[in-house]
Amino acid sequence: MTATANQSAIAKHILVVEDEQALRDMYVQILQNAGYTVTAAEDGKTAFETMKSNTFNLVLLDIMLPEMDGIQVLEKLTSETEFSTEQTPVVLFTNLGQDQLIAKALTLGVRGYLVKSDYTPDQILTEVQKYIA
Amino acid sequence: MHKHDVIHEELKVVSSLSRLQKVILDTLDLQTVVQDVVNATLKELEFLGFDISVVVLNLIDEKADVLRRTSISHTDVAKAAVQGLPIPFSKVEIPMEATENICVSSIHEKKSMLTHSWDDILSPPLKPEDAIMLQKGVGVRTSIVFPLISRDSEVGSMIFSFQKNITKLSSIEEEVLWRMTDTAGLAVQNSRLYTNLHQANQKITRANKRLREIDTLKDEFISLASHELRTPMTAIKGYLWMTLNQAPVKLHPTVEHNLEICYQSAERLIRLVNDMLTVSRIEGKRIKINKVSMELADLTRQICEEMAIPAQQKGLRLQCPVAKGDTRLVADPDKLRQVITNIIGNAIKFTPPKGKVTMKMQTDATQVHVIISDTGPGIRPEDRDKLFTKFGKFEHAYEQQQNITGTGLGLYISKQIVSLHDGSITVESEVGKGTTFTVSLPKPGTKSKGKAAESDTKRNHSRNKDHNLLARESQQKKKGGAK
Repeated sequence: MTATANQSAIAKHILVVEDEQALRDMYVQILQNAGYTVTAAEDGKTAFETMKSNTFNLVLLDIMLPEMDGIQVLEKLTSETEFSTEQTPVVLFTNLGQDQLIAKALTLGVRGYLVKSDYTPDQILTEVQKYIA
Repeated sequence: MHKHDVIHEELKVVSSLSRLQKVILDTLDLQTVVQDVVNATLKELEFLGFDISVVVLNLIDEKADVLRRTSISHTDVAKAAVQGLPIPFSKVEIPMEATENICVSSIHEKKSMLTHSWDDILSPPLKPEDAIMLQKGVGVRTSIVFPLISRDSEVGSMIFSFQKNITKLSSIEEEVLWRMTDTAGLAVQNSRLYTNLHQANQKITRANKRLREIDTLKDEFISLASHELRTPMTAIKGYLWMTLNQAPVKLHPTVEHNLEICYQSAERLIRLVNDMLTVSRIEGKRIKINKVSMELADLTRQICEEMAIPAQQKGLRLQCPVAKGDTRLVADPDKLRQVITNIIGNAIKFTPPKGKVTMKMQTDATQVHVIISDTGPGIRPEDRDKLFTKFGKFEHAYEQQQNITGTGLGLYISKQIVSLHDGSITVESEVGKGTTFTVSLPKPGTKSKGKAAESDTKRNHSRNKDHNLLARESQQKKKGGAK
C-alpha cells in the first residue's frame, strides 16, 4: 500500500470536508487504511472552526457544503485567521465543473482541484501523496 | 378659357397635388397618415375650388373581411355627422360582400361612384331610414366614392361629400380626385407595410430575447444536473472499486464479473456526464482554450505509449510516430490530448484482433497533421454524415458491440476543439479496408484559410438561423400555429 504514510513516525493528518455521508465515509476509510490520521467535517462552519484551530498536512475541500461553501470557508480563513494556504496545502475535491468558481479558489492559494467522480480510491491516494505536506 | 388661364389652372392643380404628396407621403405612422390623408385632401380640394364638406377614409380589414370607417376630416359638417351616428364612427363596418354599398362596390369595380342617398354608403350597419335622416340633418346633398388601389392591392375607399347637388364631375375634376386618391392609397399602403414590418421585427426581437434566456437556463440546468448526477456516481464507482479491489473476502467469479460490468457502466455514465458538460460549455461558448507553446510530437508519442497496453491486450499491432520535422504548435495540450486520445482510442476499439493501428505525423508549409489509420471494418458512406454528430449511432453490429464504453459525443467534441484551434478533421474510409482520420492544425504564425472559411460558415450559419426563424414563423402563421 502506501509506504510513505507508514514510514513517518507520526502519521500525517488529513482533513476531509465532505457533506455526502456515503462519500465522506468512503474517503475516511480509504485514507485511514493507507495509514493517515483523518478528521472529517460535514459542513462549511465546522470546516472553518476545525481549520482555524488545528493544523493539517492536507485539506481535501468540497465546494458545495451546507452553512458555508468551500470558497467562502477559504475566504474567511485567509482574511480572518492566521491560516495560510502556503503552510497548509488545500486541494479542492468537488463534482462541480464551474471554471469561474475554481479560478477564484486558485487565487486564494488552492493547490489544485480534483473532480471526485473521475478518481478511483487508489488514484485519490496518488493525488494525496502528490499534494501532502 | 384663355390659354394663360388654362396654364394657370394646370399649375394650380400640379402644385396642389405636389403639396398633398409631400404631406401624406412624409410619415409612415399609420395613425398620423390616416388623419393627414383626409385633412390634407380636404384642404387641397378647397384650394382648388371644390365646395367640399367632408372627406372620409375607409380601410379594408382583411381579417374581418370588412370595410371600416377609419378617419374623417375636421369640419363642422363632419362633426355633426359623427355625433348623429347611432353607433361609434369606427364601428361603421361594411362587409366586403355587401356590394349594394357603393363604398365596397367602387373597390370591386375600380370605378368612382356618385350617390344622393346616404343609404348607399351607410347600410347595412345603419338602417336606410336612419341613414337618410342623418344625411338630411347634416345637409349633404351629394357623396362621391373613389376606390383606393395600390400596387394591385385593394386598400379601401374615400368618400367626398358636398352640400350642393352634383350630377356629374367634369373630366378635370375626376382626374384630380383620381390623382389624390391614388396618392392616398399609396400613403396608406406604405404605412401599413411599414407597420407590419415593424411589428414583425419587434416579435422577432422578443423571440430572440426569450431564446437567449432559455439558452442560459439550459446551461445552468446542465451544470446543476451534472453536479447532482456526479455525486451518486462517485459513490457507486468508489464502493464498487473497493468491493472489487479491496474486499475482505475473495469474490465468487460470477459476482466479480457482474460487479465488473456494473463498474464499467458506472464509468461510462461518468464519462457521459463529463462529455455533456463539455458539449454544453462548447455550445455556450464558455470553453477556454489555453494556448501554450508545445511540441505536438511529444504529445502524440506520449499518447501512443499509453495506448500500447490496451492495443496489445486486444491483439493489435500499434505503430507510433517517429519524430520528424518541426511539430511546434501554439495550442491547448490538454484539449488536443483529449482529441487525439479519442481518435486513437476509437481506432483501437473498432479494429478487430490481428489488425493494425498506425499514427503518423506530417508537416507542410502551413500545417501539422496527425494521421491515425486502422485496418478496421471501415465507415459506410451512409454513416459518414453521422460521424461528427452527437450520439450518431452505427448500425454495424461489430461497432455497436465494441462501443459499449463510448459516449457518442467524442468525435463531436473533438471536431469542436479542433475548430476552435482553427484546424480541421478529415476522414477517409473504405469499407472492408480501414479508416484514416487526419487532424490538421495550423502552424504558429500562419493566419490559416481555415479560420476565414470557418468564420464565413459561422456567419452564414447564423444568417440561416435567423432566416429559418422568420420562415418558421410565417409558416406557423399560415398553418394557424399548429406544428
